[in-house]
Amino acid sequence: MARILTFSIFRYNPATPEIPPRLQEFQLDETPNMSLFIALNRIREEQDPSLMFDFVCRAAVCGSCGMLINGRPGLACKTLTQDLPDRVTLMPLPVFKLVGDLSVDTGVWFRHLNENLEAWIHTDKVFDPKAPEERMDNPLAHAIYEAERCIECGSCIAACATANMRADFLGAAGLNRVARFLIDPRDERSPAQVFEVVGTDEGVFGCIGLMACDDICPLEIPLQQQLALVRRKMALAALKGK
Amino acid sequence: MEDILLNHVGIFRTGEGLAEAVATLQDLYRRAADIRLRSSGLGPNPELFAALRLPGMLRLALCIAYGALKRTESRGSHYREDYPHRDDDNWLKRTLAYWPPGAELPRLEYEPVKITELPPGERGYGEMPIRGD
Repeated sequence: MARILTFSIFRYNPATPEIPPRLQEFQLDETPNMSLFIALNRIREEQDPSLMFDFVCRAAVCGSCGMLINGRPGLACKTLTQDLPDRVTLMPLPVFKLVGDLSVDTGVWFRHLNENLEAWIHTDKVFDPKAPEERMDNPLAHAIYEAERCIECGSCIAACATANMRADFLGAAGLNRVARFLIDPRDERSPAQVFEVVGTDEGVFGCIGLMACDDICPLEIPLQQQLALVRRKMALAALKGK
Repeated sequence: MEDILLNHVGIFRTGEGLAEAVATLQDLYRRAADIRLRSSGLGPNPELFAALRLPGMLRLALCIAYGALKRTESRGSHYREDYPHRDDDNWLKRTLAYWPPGAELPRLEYEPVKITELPPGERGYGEMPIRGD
């Protein structure tokens, strides 16, 4: 009783701009527990060796296979065809630079983001490799880890109405990153200093609250809570006159 | 290549299977020299990536299969059904594989293992008498 699935896949190769972007259909017999990772690799092996898409880990760790699956951003490796209808439309993630077909460059975008946010621990303490590590209580370590789980797949950015309209918007991944450093006691930046970077329309006040990021995050990071935390801290910093 | 490695260079190995793997991989390596594309190859083309990488992957597969064929003992994750014992007299050494330009097989050399704090001893899993104790 195997279904025949029809994949309608976005095709465009920037190396051949004379061929306009188009949707190409492929048919495939469904096998048990088939993921889009398996389906796309079979299409590439059996039907069209030029089909471009990205995969590395096939286990929702690397974040390279984000794409629009029937209009919804998600990880192709984590999406089983049994949860999809007979017809599946696959498009590359918007916002990011298109490499070709379903492959996009999220790396440049996230590098820019992390450099902008200076997403590393800022401290004046000199590191002593021989000193015992400073202790951190478990709930705090867990809270930092929760934000650290982001694999930078770009799904929340692609799903975000503001990010689609505003090229410089930090998006949920960026604000989650801010939250991670705001709660980390090792980072000596004050909320006022963070406000300088994110207390703008490109930052925390650009969000219009649609919360698609929270709905679709493949890692189920509580992005709404993270956003609320950053907003609360930033509003306080603003009220205190920085 | 995938099938050969899975079937003959996997967990349980035999001299016969490894010899077959080496012969088949050598044949594939010769054929890979004439590799062609079905698509245009323009842009970041995955078929082109695969074609460029394949000869190197086959050389690496041959290093593994040929090194395993020559190592007539069992050690660690290298398990030979035809040589089930560890043989410290002859094989307490590390395989180094080199690929001279134009060669059809890697050149295998061996270097001694530097024993640091603990000498190799019984591993304590399964029955596996060690030659050389």
